[in-house]
Amino acid sequence: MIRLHKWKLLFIAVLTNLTILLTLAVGEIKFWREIDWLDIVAESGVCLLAGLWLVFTLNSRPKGSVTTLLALGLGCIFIGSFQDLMDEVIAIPDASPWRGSIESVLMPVGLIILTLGLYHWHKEQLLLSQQRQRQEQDYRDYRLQDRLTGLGDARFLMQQLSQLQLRCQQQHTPLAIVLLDLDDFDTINRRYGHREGDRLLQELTEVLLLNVRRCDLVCRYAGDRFAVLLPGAGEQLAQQLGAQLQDAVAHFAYKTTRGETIYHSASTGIATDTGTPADALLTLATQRLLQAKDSRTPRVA
Amino acid sequence: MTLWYENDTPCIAAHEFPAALIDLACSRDLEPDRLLRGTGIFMADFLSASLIIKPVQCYALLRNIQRLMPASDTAFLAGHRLFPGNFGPASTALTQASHLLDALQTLENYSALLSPLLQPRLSLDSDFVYLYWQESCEASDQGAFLRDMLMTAITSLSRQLYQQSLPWEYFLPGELTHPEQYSVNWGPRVYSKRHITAMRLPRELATQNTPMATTSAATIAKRQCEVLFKDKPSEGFISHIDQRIRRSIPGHVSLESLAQALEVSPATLKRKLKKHHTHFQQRYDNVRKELAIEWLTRQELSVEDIAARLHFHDSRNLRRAFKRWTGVLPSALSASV
Repeated sequence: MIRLHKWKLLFIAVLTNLTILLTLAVGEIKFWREIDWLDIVAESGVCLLAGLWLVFTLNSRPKGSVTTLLALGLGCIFIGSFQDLMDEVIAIPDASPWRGSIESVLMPVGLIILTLGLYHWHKEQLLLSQQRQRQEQDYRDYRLQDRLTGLGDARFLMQQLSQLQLRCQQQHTPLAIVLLDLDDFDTINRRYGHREGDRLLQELTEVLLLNVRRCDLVCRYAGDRFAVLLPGAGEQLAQQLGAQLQDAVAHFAYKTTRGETIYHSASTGIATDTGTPADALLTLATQRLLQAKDSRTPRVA
Repeated sequence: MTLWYENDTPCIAAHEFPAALIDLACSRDLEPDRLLRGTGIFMADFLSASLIIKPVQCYALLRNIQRLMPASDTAFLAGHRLFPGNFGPASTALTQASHLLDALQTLENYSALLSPLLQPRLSLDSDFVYLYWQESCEASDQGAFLRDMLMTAITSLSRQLYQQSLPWEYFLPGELTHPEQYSVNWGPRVYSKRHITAMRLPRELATQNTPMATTSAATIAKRQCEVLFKDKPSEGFISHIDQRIRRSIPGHVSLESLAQALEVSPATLKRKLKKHHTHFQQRYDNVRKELAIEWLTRQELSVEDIAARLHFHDSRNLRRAFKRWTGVLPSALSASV
């Protein structure tokens, strides 16, 4: 990502150099005994951290106005703190108009721009979170995210399941879990290659996300098995929503890279919360899923 | 002719077993440079299909893959694409096998080719076909990854042969770290804390004929394998040692007697064992543990009989040793099966 921002970094580097030149031009280097080492350590620490924030921020963001604001704000703070650091080794005459002015202008300006940037970043994040609502339900932890599909993984599922159980019990609303598993996924992998299988799972994720309610949570359990948590859904509604997901999968005409169309069917296992622990609920859903798979008659796509 | 290969014997064709790992990494867009860093393998050599690597290089590759793809499904994904793979006639012998047991025998006979780092051992009784897995070449930290990968490969192979899942049962030591992966990839019959690494299938299922088999193709492929691997070592060093110890029991085994049988000095044997990150007592204990578990659970021998066969002074001593090997008493194990 950082390559996207090479001009911004170059700009900040040039400005930093200019302040060095300026300071050298108007000031004189201090004697050893005049230098306060404690100040140097403290101020170089601030300067280093400001630089680190700048790099992390730029490395994690695409181009855009929000990024520019953040970079500008952090850049100002970096240069300001750098100037502050240089003050410790270069004495600028009291009469000079530059004395202290770079730092005292750049720091507040930088902080204001950064605040503005953070405000817009917050707006942007709200928008993105809204889109990811059905994947994360107000909780995000990148370590519990599946790399292929971006959904939460099994650990995330278990964590959310126990929390939802508690919440639904307090609110006296039912809770259901649907496990959905593709039929003969390994045949697809074998016939079309694993890369195609990976892409299929990614696109299937989109299909599932489009076909659940706003309050539902979709996770990738493992392999081709997905789990959907349905707060507020009783047995009947869960059956209905499960069937809708199955239909959505059956009608999804996946296109391979060579342009072939593959249809699939999926089996589901549904369990409603009866106050059992989370893993017992999951085991029940798994058993029903395996029963459904065993007794499955080929569905017509 | 040498009977075994060591961890620095160049014996693994890079385009065979390691290819499943390299392919997996490439399909997830890992840079080949990062994947092969420190392994001494180069992409160009790998693609030339004539590169032979050492087991240590293969272990380094495994470590890189786990570092770069830390997700819990990596071993399973690699396992799914291992067989039939690119093993020449051995691939044909696997996919055209007349029944699963036939394929498993091919696997055992040519394990140096098909699974060079983890040794499969077939064992049959009247009801079940057991497939045990043991470290083959080196006592390494990659055991769990390899076992997940190879057991998935066998699961996947049997599904290919019969076009449906077979009711394999899986026995693993320790706790399951990712129960969801086992459940989806292996099915519901995965048992943890069993102190062994094995899988079993009812015998009549393993011997029923496959729908797609062409017997002549399988016979020819097996003959080709015989010719190709006639002069090649068939098992890893550790696996060879374990096998020798196993065959000597119920007689007495010691480092000296083992060295004599291998026609090397005890000091050389000690050095070789150290090179493979193990020592004689560890191998001896390991074999005795496996035998004790096998006898307890499959033949239902009494602890007294087992103590006598394994040269323990009395059953109390065996109980204590068993507790040291597995963390539980023999009674806990026989009760659980």
